[in-house]
Amino acid sequence: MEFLLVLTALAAGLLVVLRLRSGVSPGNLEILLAGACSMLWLAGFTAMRPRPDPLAGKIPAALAPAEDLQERFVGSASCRSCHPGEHASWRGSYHSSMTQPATPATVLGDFTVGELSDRGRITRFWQKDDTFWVETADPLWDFLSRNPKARSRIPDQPPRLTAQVVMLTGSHHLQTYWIRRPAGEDTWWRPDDGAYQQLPWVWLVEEGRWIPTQDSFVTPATHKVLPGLQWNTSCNQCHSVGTRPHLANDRFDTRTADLGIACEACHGPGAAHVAANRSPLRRYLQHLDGEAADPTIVNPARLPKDRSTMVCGQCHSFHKELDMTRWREEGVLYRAGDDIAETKGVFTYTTEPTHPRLLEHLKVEHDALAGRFWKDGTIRVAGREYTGLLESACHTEGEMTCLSCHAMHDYVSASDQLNDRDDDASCVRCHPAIAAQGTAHHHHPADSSGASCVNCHMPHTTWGLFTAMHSHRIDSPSATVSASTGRPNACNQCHVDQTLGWAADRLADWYDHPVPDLDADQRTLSATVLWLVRGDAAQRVLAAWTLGWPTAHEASGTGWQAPLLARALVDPYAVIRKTAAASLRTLPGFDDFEFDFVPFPQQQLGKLREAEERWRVGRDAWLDRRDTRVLLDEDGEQLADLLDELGRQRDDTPVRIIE
Amino acid sequence: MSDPSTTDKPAVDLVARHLRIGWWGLLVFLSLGLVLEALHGLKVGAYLDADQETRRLMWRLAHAHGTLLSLVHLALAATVAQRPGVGGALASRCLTASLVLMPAGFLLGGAWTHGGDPGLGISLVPPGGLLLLVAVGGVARGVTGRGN
Repeated sequence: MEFLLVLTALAAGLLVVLRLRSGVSPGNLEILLAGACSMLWLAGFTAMRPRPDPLAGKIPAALAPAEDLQERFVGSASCRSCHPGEHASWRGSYHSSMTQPATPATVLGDFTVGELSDRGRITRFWQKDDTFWVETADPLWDFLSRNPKARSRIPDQPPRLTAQVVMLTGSHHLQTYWIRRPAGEDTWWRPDDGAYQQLPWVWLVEEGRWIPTQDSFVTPATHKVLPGLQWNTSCNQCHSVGTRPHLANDRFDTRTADLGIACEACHGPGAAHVAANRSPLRRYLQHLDGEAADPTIVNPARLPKDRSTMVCGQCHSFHKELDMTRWREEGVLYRAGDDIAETKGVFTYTTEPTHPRLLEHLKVEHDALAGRFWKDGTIRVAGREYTGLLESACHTEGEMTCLSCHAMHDYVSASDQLNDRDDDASCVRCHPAIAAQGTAHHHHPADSSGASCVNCHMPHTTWGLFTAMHSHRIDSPSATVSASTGRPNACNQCHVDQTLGWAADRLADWYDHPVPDLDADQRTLSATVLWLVRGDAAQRVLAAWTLGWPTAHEASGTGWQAPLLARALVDPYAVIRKTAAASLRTLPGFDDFEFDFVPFPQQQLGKLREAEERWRVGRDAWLDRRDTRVLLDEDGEQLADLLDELGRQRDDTPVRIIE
Repeated sequence: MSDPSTTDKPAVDLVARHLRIGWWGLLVFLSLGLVLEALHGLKVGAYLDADQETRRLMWRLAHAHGTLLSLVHLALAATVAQRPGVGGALASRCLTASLVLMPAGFLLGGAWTHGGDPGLGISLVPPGGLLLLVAVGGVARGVTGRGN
């Protein structure tokens, strides 16, 4: 149409010129000009008509929405013309780039790396023009090997395949890649069952390197390759919009409305809204009545407290779809504004699970609760903040919602999307009297990190993406909880050189907390050191992180942690080794310490000795604690025997924290 | 070329009026262009932030329409100077009104915006556009009617 219009306009223009040169009559000239004007109007009208496929190019063709999805979802591109600011802020957030097609603009991983090997498996990477390829062990084999029914039908060893990378997840911490198994009749399983399988390597963005996917989570060490995920049945639930897996007869016909966490994830399907607001009259009546909600779309900020929080909770929680049969066909049934309980089971911690859906899930994932929660019921996996809020009086008894602190559009920084530069502003809005007490309440110097509401009431006891994050179960520091459940408390996360007994005594003095029964070690040795040396993997990784936390350095110095972190370089968990090395580099004399956390602990002994030797040489200049609490004698010598003894007490209960 | 000063008093007034309007209009709307450039230079968020896309478009349109309409006034003055009978009072008034309505509509429409929609000031633009069409049509017809 466009081409035809251009040709017609060109012909009309040439005709005008020719007629003028040969002496045109006035009447004919008017007709020609009127014709040209009509062409312009027609062109304008045609250009303004809605495009039939606003998602073209953004979604891999095989995933493009079917007609029934298009009737309800319009895709984020359609929102831009009316909401340019909101669209721009969404594009600036990491929600928008959570899932993207693999293109040179989106792929951060180095596909010129050649060949990588892990646990006996080799993967070859290459780039061909604007496409990305791998030759690897078929990830479907690992996936099926978990399934007892399929095990007898698969080869003993994974067949190899060559596949194109079609999608990726993640954009600023790490990227994981999805391949579509190739079509063909001679493959071992089925030529192409429509599944998108996860590549066994992820790209660490900041470090600029590949690591095995299974080493990116807190998960027990194993020499086996763990199965990756299948996008159709896992990540699409939260990392895309309106995705319909459509699994039938072991084949997928998966279609999606939008990739990434896009507009309609939080505002609901937008087709009716877009159709209604094509009328300028309707739009201006809405503008003039600024207070009125548009009934054709959901605005989480206008929803009641519970429903508003559920919009975020649809993903930021430990949840499972209630009707798995329907989900396999239709995808996620929850829509923004709904009561989440109608379609999802959102689970909090329990020692006696009774929810049928939870019981069903525990058959598949036995440690689903043990891995995700501290024993006091606090969620410890990052990205499950709604689960934390469900345990917080600020939400259950107060009016707090996610939007009390966070903003999806008017945020300060994309990293946490807080709505205020002052972390404590949201707390103070509801608790002005406590804020007014100042030092009488927090017992720390004003403006110090100890005076911060979030540092005490939202301690860093959540883990994900190689870092500790604020717990979203908002509560008060408790030595009793730490003693009985092992969940670190805020006091000992800053005062990393102090004992749990010291924290218990302070909390008793200041807030009349009961003093728990503590063993001799808890009274005499640093709580964080104990968590690092003899804790379980969750405690160890958090302790390794806090020993490198600048705020803890302010309170506890930087000269004594190195030999303890050096020991953690040989921890069985790869993520703990990585965290220990990162914390080590924050200490004096270690900023250039090189360490590759991926090799198994037996291969790291040389680095352990190198770190210990470096500390021995420089410690006289660095030491700011000579204290048995941190396992040093008064000469600064490490209490190696005690350290070894505590190490033998290490809690090796398998822990999986998979965000 | 005829001399309107000796042959047609109304035409002389018309030429003088549109010369005044055209040149003063150019001064105003080219100045607006400088202001917009300054907003760019000073990185003023109220004009350049991503959520100010509508405002940027509206004010650019105000600048462009004001400048071009001022040139149309000068073109009318030149036309009347050459063809004193062309461009009667109606065309003159319509063109003058459009120079007020269209840039003002875009300016006001950009001053208060509603997301992707300009403010109510934008409602001045369609009548301004219609008046411009009437004016241009009248002049075009005048030129055509004389058979020149």
